[in-house]
Amino acid sequence: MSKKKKATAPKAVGTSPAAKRTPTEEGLIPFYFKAILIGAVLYLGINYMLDGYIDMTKVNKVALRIQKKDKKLTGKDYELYDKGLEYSRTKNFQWFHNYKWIYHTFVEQNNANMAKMDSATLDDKQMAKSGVDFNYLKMIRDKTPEDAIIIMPSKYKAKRPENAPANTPKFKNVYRKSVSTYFLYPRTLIYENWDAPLNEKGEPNETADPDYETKKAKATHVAILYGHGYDELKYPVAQREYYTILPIEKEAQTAQ
Amino acid sequence: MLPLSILITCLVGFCAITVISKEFSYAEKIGSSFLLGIGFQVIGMILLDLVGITINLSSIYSVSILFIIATLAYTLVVKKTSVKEIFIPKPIGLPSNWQKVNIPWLVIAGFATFIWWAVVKKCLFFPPFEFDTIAGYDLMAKVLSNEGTFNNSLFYSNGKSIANTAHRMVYPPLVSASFGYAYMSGAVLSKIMSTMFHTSGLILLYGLARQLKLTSLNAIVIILGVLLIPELTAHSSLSQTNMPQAMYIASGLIALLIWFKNREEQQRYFWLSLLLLSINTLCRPENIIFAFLAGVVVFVDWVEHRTKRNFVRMVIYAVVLLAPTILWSLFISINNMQPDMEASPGLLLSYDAEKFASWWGYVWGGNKEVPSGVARSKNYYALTMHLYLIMTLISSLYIAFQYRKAKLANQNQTAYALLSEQLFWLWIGLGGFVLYSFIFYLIDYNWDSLRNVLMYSYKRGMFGLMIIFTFFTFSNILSRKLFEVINHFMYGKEKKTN
Repeated sequence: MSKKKKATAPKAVGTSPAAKRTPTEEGLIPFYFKAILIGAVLYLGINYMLDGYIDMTKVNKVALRIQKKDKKLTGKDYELYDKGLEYSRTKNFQWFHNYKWIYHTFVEQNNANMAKMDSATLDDKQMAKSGVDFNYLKMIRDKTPEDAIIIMPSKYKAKRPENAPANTPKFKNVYRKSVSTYFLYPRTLIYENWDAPLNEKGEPNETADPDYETKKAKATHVAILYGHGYDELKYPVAQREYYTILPIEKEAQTAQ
Repeated sequence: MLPLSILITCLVGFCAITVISKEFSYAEKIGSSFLLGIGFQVIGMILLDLVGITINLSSIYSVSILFIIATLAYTLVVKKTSVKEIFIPKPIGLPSNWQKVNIPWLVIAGFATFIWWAVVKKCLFFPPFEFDTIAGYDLMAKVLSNEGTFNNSLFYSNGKSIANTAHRMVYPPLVSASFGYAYMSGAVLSKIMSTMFHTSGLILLYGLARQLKLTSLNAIVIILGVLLIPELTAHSSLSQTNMPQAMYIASGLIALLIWFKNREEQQRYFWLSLLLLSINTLCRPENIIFAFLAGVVVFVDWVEHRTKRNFVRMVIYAVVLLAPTILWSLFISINNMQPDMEASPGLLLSYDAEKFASWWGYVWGGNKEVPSGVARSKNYYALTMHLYLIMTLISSLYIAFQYRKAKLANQNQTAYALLSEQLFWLWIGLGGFVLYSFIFYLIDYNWDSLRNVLMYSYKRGMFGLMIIFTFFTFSNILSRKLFEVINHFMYGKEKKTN
């Protein structure tokens, strides 16, 4: 390489957007031959990066079952485990697995999931993503007017009882005022624990609502969770449900 | 109403960029229209709220239309740009070599479009479900659209925000307000805004890549590289603040580079960079770090050429960069809006060996949970960091060699151009990475654990830098040469005319 050529290193390489090429003697056939050649190399390169994907989440699940000596394991499970193990030792896995993940899991798996939910309503999709919490909050949303003031289950009341049947759902976010407000807005929510002047330890509650007492006096509904909350009602209830929403006053219940 | 709202947003941004210059390419104009437009509209919302005017569709439209009229008038009357030049600055038509279809470009663009479409599809299919948005940005958006003020029923009468919202209710409101604008416009879901941030960001990045004098194949490979950052792509279909943040950071810093490389002729990129980085400070509070990175570059420029004009420009840069943050701080202070927790993220300027070891383990490796560290994790960013480090090393050695050669040949300007561009990249890439990571060491973790902050906030905050890394990997002097060789191979030794 000549000195002159090296000294021009910072000179703009490539084509400036304003630059226009003028056709040269070279014809279209040699151009397309070269263009297809480069295109094919790029295509094969991408294909190499994306090919041979094995979902390691599934492999890890099988590995865990093997560790636990699960008797329901099939030959297919062992085959997947062996393939996964072999795959995880390859350079292809080490360098390109995460690119494969984008194509096979992020794109293809998501497409398959969306196709399955093609006719799903917005609530169905929210349920699929937010789980039982949304299910419970949706029930409250559907059974209360928008101006309702609702006493919500506090953190300790939202905890799954230890003696509850095995199929009893566990709520992760119902006790969080922010999450419930998101799904129930414009209803006013009162959280007796988090909004109380004192927290569970009896210390001043940093997050206390200064208007807690005023709001509670105006409460119209009580959200019942795991059978908690009936003590807030101003009338006796004979048949107690595990999850429901009830008006505080009996008249309101009759009207509903 | 939603298409009309988005159109107005884009018009606001289009008029803003036209005020800077009519010379921007179509990709730059299209890409920055939404990013700038929504930024100006959110600043407008804060100002409206500050003076007690309810934020609703009518007030936003009114402010937007006033902005459009004012900027158009400035462009037409003061800058004497014709209407044709505003909308069609460059002739639209087939290029002279239209018969030669760039097949490799089509292959890469096809694959990039395929991934982009998957992101859009997923984004618009599922409603928001991530905790941070449900207990934060989208919650604020819903209430803002209903009550017309940032200081709404999510705050108690004593100014504290409701439980479990942490600091999100007093976060700079670019993302939440843009979601709110979508709700005001009748959208059932606000996620169209995430799609707009993502798509606009990619188009703008492509336009900016072309201004770096890269071949079209090189530019589209960069965009594919950005789309192949696994965690960023996964996040682009969610409604969080990190992806918009990444788009503003990357496009703002790349625009600054274009200006830095050719300061006299490319002044428009100085202003574009300023607007993008300034709006970015309304996205997340830590974005002030990236504003600082850019500020240092502008300061260096002033040190180099100490003219009155450069000094004024530097002061304007600093003021405009900080203005949105000051405006928002003023707003929350006047309205006594407070987060729901007493402790707030501050900095601890002291050395703590245990904290340092833990921080290092999470950032660079050695921690059991993320053995390779968040920054080098292939799960999060695939090979982005690895390729960046390799290319930084190789290209720096090459530049050092070329620099010495140019110096020996008394080609000082060539030597300077070589060095300054590489130093710029090192500053915004490596410098940005070190600075951004080190801030996470200094944070006083009295409000959350170091682990949580590094595994979530830090990881997602790195998106902008990862785009910068991708840009450098594929646009450094050696990569450029490679793509130039490919171009020459395909097109032959064609004569180029400007």
